[in-house]
Amino acid sequence: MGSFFSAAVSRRTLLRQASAGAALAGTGLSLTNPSWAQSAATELTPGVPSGISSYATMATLPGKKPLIRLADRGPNYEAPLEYFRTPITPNDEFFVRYHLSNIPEVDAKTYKIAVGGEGANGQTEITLDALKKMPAYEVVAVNQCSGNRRGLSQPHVAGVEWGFGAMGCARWKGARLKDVLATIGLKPEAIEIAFNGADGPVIDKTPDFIKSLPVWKAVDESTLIAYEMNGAPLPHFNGFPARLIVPGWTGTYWMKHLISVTALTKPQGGFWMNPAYRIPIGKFPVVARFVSQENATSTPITEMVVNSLITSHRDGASVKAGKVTVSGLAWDGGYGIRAVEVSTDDGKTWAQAKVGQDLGRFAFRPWSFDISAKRGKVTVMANAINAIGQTQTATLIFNPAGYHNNVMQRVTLNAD
Amino acid sequence: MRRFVIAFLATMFAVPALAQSQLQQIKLKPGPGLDAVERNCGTCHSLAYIPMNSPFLNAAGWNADQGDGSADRRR
Repeated sequence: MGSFFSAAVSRRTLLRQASAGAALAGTGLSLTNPSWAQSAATELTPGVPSGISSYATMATLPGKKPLIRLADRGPNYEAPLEYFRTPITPNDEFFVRYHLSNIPEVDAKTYKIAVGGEGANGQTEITLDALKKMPAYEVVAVNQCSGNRRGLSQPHVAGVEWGFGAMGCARWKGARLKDVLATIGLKPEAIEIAFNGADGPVIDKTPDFIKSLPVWKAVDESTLIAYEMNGAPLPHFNGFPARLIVPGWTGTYWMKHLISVTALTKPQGGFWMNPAYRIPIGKFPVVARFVSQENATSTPITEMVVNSLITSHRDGASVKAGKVTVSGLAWDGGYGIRAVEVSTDDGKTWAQAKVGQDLGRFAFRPWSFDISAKRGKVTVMANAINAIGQTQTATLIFNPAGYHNNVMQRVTLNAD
Repeated sequence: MRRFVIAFLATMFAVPALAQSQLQQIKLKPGPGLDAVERNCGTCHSLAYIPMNSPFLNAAGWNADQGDGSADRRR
């Protein structure tokens, strides 16, 4: 793959990416927006490790609004709470997450996806034009980093210490992966489909970021190779020109700058399949299994657990006594949100929130609830329930990588 | 022509300088081995991971394989 692809992209460093962005200074995509150097302290999620506030700033990548910059190389930027007040996240507010620092600017004209592998009946290359000529499908789906809310784990665990903002929801348009695979055909012994992106490590010793899916999920009708995000080409930092969309499953499978699709007859190896991105067996109520990768103690993370976020108010916000509308978002692994309940008495009693626009079972579902706030403090909790009856948890299910944190949030408002 | 060349050169130098100023400036605590840490860690990724994880990670945590070959290079 590597040799064919090196001709298809021009390798450019992030620094050059940034300078290309600087040339856009007059176009409203300015890197010199004064907010880029603003401390992110007030935007950080309460509870993340204290070290972050010593250096994190709001920073503006080319084509993006200010995001909370946790690291610039590889680029890891999360969205502040205010960007989650609509069920669709605009492209310029969408979070950015990379493992590796060598991120080429891919030339759409020469871009190709190599499709083949031992588990396929042949091999082919698909250009962006060819991809766009295939039957197109759209899905509104949440892309959430597996480690979203890792920074809230108690005790803290190593990794990128995300707060609430390593997620977003967009309308993705592209070809079905199953249609792409059908152009060559799978052998009966194919068990996984592996994916690689154009981004790579700085030194050879670092394993390239390669991920696989079980065949059943790869050929699901919702799994797409997308070239549009909310009606526009994908932003560079979200995988231009095409990326994998795996609705319901965590972001680790959503390969950006997709350059190869490989049918396997043996399980994909490598650091990023094991030990990375694994959860302990039996700890979480997930339905979707990745059997070919399971072992006695762990299994790859698969679908997202049901979750919600209060987005109208920050913890500690001041409000006027009286009617206060608290609102937010709810989502899950693709079963759909059945209800959201709210409690203002520490979880003793719950009342149904009003759920808003249904953009599909993979989308953020907006909700709102009117509370009657007396003078003083009131603590609001939210709990989402999905269509198969799963709910959020009252206490953290600890795991060493800090995944699947769906502890019910508590937001305290000060009414006067 | 000359004006064009000067303008062109100004662009060449001004843009990277601007980009450079936008990179994260992470100041680590001074101490023995600081340059080795900056070199070994900073070759592949931002030094931000150090203050981000430092309040709680112990020696075993820092020596764990994070998949970037860094634990290998420390051995």
